[in-house]
Amino acid sequence: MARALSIVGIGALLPVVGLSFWEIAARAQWTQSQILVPPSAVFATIVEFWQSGELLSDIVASTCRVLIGFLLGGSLGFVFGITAGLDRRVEAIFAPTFHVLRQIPVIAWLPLLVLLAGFGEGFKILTISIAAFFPIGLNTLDGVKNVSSKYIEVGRALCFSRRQIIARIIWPAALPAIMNGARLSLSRSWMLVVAAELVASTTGIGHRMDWGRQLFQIDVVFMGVLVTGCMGLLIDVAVRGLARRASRWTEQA
Amino acid sequence: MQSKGIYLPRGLLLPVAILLAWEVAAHAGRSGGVLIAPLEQIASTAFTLAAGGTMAVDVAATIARVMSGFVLGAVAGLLFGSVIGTSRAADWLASPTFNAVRQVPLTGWIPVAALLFGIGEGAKLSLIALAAFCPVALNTAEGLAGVSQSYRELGRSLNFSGVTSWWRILLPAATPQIFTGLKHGIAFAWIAAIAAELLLTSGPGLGSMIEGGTALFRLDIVMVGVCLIGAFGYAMAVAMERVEARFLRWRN
Amino acid sequence: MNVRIDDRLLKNDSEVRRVGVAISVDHVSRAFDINGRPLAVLHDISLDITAGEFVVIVGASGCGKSTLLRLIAGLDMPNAGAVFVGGSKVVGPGLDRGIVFQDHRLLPWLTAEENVAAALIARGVPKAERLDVARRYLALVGLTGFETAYPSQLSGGMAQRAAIGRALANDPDVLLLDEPLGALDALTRLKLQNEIVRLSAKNPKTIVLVTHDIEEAVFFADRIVVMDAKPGRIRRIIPVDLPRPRDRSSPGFVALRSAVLDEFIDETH
Repeated sequence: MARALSIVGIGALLPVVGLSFWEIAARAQWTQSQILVPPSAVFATIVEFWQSGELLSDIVASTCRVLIGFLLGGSLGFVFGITAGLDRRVEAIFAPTFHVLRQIPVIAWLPLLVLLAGFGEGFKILTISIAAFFPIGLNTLDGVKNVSSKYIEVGRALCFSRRQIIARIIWPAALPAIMNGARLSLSRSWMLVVAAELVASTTGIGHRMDWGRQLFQIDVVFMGVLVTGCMGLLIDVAVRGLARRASRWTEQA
Repeated sequence: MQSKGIYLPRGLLLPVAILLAWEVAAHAGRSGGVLIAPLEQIASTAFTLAAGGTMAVDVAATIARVMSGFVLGAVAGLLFGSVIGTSRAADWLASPTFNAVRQVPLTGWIPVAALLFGIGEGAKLSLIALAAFCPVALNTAEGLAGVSQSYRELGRSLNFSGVTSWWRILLPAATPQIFTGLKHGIAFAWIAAIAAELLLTSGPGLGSMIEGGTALFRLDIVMVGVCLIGAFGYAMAVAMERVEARFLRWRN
Repeated sequence: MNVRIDDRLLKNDSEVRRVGVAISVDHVSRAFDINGRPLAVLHDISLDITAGEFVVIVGASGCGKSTLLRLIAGLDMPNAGAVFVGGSKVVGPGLDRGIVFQDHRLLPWLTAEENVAAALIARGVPKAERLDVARRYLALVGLTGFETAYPSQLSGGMAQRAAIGRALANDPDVLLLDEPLGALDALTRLKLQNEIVRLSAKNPKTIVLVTHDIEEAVFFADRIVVMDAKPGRIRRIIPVDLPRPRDRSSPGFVALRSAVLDEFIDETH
């Protein structure tokens, strides 16, 4: 325990020293203070935006977009991965196109989506859906396809029906890969919601950062960096926890 | 299949269907404010851009940016990852900060870069370098830390110095994972370059090209840009795989 | 001395299934496609196995002995001929046959008891009862106390015990063992050999075991089927009349072991 605390202490050393130096540098006006605001000012800004409720509404707006987009795109990717992974004909028809399209960074679709769907909510949800679709689609497809034929043969030897083989062998064997895909999908979604809000939005964390940038309020921009980082971390930890529960058996060795 | 007379691989069914639908939609002229550019117009735009030389300028600008940003970020990532992967003190000291920085989505840094460096080359390069830095550093550190104890003992039993051991044993043993980091790094660098060009438009580049196309409501230009981004991103990934295959021949 | 080498291949009459014949392999051939060219793995194999008999198939690697076992299991189909188990033609896997593979093939996401219980799923046995049966069979193979362990927490020998428990859980007429001890260390192998003898004495079944270990063959078999490679065919069937339990150091055992070994040394000439 003491050892763990000392490790945390050492880990905190760098940020504490760095931030103190930054604070001193900013207060002593070694640089243009307009650009490099002191951490205390960033903290004050966070408190101010939190108390006014603006920060919370930004977080809620972005998170809602991520969740809706993730559910839409993620479930579509999941369905694609499962059906193409189980059925060769489906794979033969859809997979080549899928593999070509996934080479294109989702961010490159932004302008096209703006042109086709306008600047409204639809464009953001669409962007996030696309971002969520590919990682989970790819990982589900690979996960289902790569289930060892040895395990499937066990199912055959035990006279499992096709349904039982899918539910009792393919599904648990592919689940770790699928969860990993979901994790990637969520982190991509989070990255793209910020991008979409930077491009065109009146709400959300990305919009708040863009607003801060245009007004040269770097404290607001840093608040955005902190909040996006924390949200990203939160989502990652949550999904990792779920993934670990789903794949307890892989780490017992 | 046989009765149809022409043989079509099943993988082509979907693209053909999409392109046909696109073409029909374009000619039907049902515009929701924007005209869908027909395929022949996209093709002729691609030809015009290629012939006029602007396409080459944009492609070259983006690739040059990605390469320089990637080299910067990857070298820094290798160094940083080597230090925290081999020294426990450095790991405790710097890893928490590194992991915190890593959580911020790439796009979240764009406004910061814009404020600190403006919308010019500095902001773009730093974003690309950061994008490449994180996966390279992470995988280098994990790869080095994960080198099996028996290899380390081999180094000691052969009386290798610390540096020799690092160069002859640790680094080669960690190479597969370092390459995983480099592959992710080049992919992220490419994404970062497009994002930076798109959101911090200045000078030539593929991101600027599609951004410009959007401003002019020219779907044909946007489509040509998207295709080029996909193609060159893929080409870079393949090139990286080739390099990896050369370096990791011992792995078969 | 009890050593007798039977040169005569068993005569088979495919039309009449004699009472007491548990497994009948009838003029079976199997070829695989290797880069578009057919490679004959088994050529015109015929073999009758009586109910309750312990038959061990030995042969060099590539003689098709595992393929023959998989054909009996119904995991693979012959190109020509047919396999009959209990009088009916094999068209696929069945619960009348339990199989143990060389790699234990326990499903890694299930505990030991869940793995054994999985054998009863296809019969529609309710879950509680499945687990009940599974625990009984785990006790039978000596794994009491490891019911809720995951396969990755079991040693190789323990995992293979669980796999044997899974194969027995449906109380099949036929037990098929595909080099079940091949991946184990020598001591564990000896232990499990004794265990298999104990299990088969307690709960008599028709057993077909594939191995490349000649001592193991002599230790287990009522009859040893020696196979030739390329294409796989039966070279010789050697009845083993040694009394049970078998003593590995008895003169009869040693003599028979070297007689079987000679079969393989001859091959090199």
